[in-house]
Amino acid sequence: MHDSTTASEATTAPHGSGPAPTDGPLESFSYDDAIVRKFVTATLVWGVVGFLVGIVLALELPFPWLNGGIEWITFGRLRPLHTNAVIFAFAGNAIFAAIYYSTQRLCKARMWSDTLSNLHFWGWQLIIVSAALTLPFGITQSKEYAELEWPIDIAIAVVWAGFFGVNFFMTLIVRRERHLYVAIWFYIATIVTVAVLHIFNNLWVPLVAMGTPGTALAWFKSYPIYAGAQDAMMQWWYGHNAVAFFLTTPFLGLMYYFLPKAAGRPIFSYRLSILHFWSLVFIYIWAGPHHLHYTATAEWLQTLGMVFSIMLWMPSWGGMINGLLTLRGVWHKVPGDPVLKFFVVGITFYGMSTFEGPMLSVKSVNALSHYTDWTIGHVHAGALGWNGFMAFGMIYWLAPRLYQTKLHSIAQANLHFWLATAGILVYAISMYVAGLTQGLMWLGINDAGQLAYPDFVQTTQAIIPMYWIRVVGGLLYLGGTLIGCWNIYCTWKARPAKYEVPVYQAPALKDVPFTPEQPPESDLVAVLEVGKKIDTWSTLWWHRVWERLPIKFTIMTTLAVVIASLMELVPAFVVRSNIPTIDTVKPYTPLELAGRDIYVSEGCYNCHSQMIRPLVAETVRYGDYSLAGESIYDHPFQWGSRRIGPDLAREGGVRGNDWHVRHFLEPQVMTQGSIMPPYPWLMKKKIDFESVPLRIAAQQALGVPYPQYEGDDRSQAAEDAKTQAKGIYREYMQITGKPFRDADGEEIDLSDKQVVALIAYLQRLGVDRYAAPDAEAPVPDGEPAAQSDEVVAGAPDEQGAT
Amino acid sequence: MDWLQTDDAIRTLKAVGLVMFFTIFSGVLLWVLLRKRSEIRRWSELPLDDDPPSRDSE
Repeated sequence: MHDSTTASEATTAPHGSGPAPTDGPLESFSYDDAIVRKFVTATLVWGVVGFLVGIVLALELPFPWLNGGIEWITFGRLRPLHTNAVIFAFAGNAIFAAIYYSTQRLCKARMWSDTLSNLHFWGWQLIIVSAALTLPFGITQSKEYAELEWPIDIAIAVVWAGFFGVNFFMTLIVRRERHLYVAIWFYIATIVTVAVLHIFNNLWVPLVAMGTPGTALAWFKSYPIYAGAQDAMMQWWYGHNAVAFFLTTPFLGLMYYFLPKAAGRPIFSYRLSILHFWSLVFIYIWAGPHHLHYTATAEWLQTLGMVFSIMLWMPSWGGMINGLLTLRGVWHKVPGDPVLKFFVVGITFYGMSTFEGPMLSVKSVNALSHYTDWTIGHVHAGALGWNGFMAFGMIYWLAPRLYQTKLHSIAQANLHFWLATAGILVYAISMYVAGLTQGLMWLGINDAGQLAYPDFVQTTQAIIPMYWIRVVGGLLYLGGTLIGCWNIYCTWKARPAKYEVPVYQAPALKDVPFTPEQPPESDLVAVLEVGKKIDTWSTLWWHRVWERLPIKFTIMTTLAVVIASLMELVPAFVVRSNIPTIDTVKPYTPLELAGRDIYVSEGCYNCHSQMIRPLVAETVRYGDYSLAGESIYDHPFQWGSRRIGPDLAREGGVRGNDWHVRHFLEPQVMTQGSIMPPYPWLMKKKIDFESVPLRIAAQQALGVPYPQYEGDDRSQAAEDAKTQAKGIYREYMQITGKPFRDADGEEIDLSDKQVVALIAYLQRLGVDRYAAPDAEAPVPDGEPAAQSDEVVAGAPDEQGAT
Repeated sequence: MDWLQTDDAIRTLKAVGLVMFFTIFSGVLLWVLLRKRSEIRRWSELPLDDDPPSRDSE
């Protein structure tokens, strides 16, 4: 299976792979470069798509009307498509190209199964296409970088573990080189950890498990098994480690393989690379909670996340220095070699991002940076500067080898390099300025103790120029990429009629003489037998045994990741004092739940947080800070990570229903300077009442108490939703004195339209905490009472809004 | 998991975590430093030793 060549490829005489002492016959084999060519093509195609969508999004902020009233390309629905395309399609295909090329060579073995390689390639592209076809329709879980709904989640697990993982590990087993080079370690960590992260962050109950949904959209809908603070912890355990194990470890494997190749000399310190590997694997997995600083999560968890993030700085810089010092003695080659230029800037961005990351994880810095565009600048420095440059450097190095001809144009590659470098700098710097401006304006308090910028929209308007500069940066980067694509296309056009497929020879591993490790004799005298045993053990002879065994090595890596995760997550989940409950917080009504699902589906969380931090400026602007007990029924949590618009945690009751209707229709009329797009379809699309009982049933399955809708009473949920919707529309008509009319003057009955469900949900946000306790269920002594001491009664402050 | 609800349990967990991770770190460090120089050199040259001469490398 692994020695076959494709029909279009011609084989050539064997190349020796150096004399090796052997007891058995030499085996002949060739490498599958066709699969690498496929992944390179996909990297470039999806790169262009991902960057292009990014530019559309960048333009939609200063131009909220740019979506032309088309719901599928509103900011909230398109942003997840951009992040998924860049992370999983662009960077994903790049790491697969790197892994398939280097693993075969480092193992002196063809990939175990060409069929699995191709299933992996086509399966992954199908997943990307599914993402592009579902996210614009609002089919999303709303968990960042894990938005894809349950059928696609299952496909990802099958393609990742079943096709890619099996093929990779079987290749390690049939390899002909005994030592596993450090790049392979990074690949192993990637494959194992991403599988663990993906599975545990995507445990859900789909609506379809509760009955037959009436609409196609409801077929895809699911609720995560976690809620509120726990969902937030799982999500950012996943989210942070997706960065670590999808965008860092595989790219480090790429660096440790392709940089020595391009420089023509081994890595500066192989010892340092081993330390780099184990430190990253052990430390990274703990750092997730730094995404939740000052939120309603336990203090110890935030501190843990911060400390481990700062510790990460050391191994990260160790890796960066190791990469840059590899070029000692060959720096004179860098100016003339676009590959080395891309690698040097890529590794430098790795260093800058891994300094900035720990800095942003410091709680006091995070108080300023969180929810701002600083984070956006940071992630782009990482994704475009580190991942993008490493991917392009690798592709330029691979192109002549894969297409077996000279690179079409060194000058074009250099132009790509300079455009991309200028682009990322312009992008990052403008976002740093925007982020700092936002952060300082939000937190600004004048001498009288009042907000210096009381209207949120003032802070929005202040950074619009930065949004323009950002667009220029994005265009430069995309322009460079397009030139790169043209260059690679022309190189491909000049390929030979038939690719040459060199045949290599090496003995099978089993035929290479190998003396198994023996425990050394202890030379201690006059000690107990147990002392000698300890002395022998401490020589670490046993480590040399398992370092050659991929399965045991993989188990060690898995243990490192899983034990750390368990030590962090288990106490966070089971120690009850982490999430004090509040008696007055009740589950959403059926209509509110349906409205919440619309909120999720429209991607409102991409611009609005629902988490007020205990900072003076925030409590003055939004009201009392959020408590963990307020979101215990939130499957999924909607705390958000960014404030393009204001926080909505205490939106309930602040404004009338009529205000919300008009605001969804014409945001700029209600709030001058707002950059929220209009949502006219909310007044046209009907509420899916039919699926409401299934939604309630799925929530019940997750433990949300709906005693009134148990068993046969479930269908009552839909009736109750209809009644509440009619009430909201009736109230709207009472306030406005007339029925709702659309832009053409046509009267529309809103009582079954999505806008009413969404308003029902918004009016519920943050109000339970101030509700009167049930007469029949008095507040017991203990934790809830302690909770209520913190609560300042009364409606939250009025706030400026977009 | 009632046993985890006490401060003592959490303290023990913290101590176990610290000792475990410190030990492993020290172990890896020690192991790395104990490798033979020749062995390290061979490993680090693995990527340079796996390809035929390619057309543009001359």
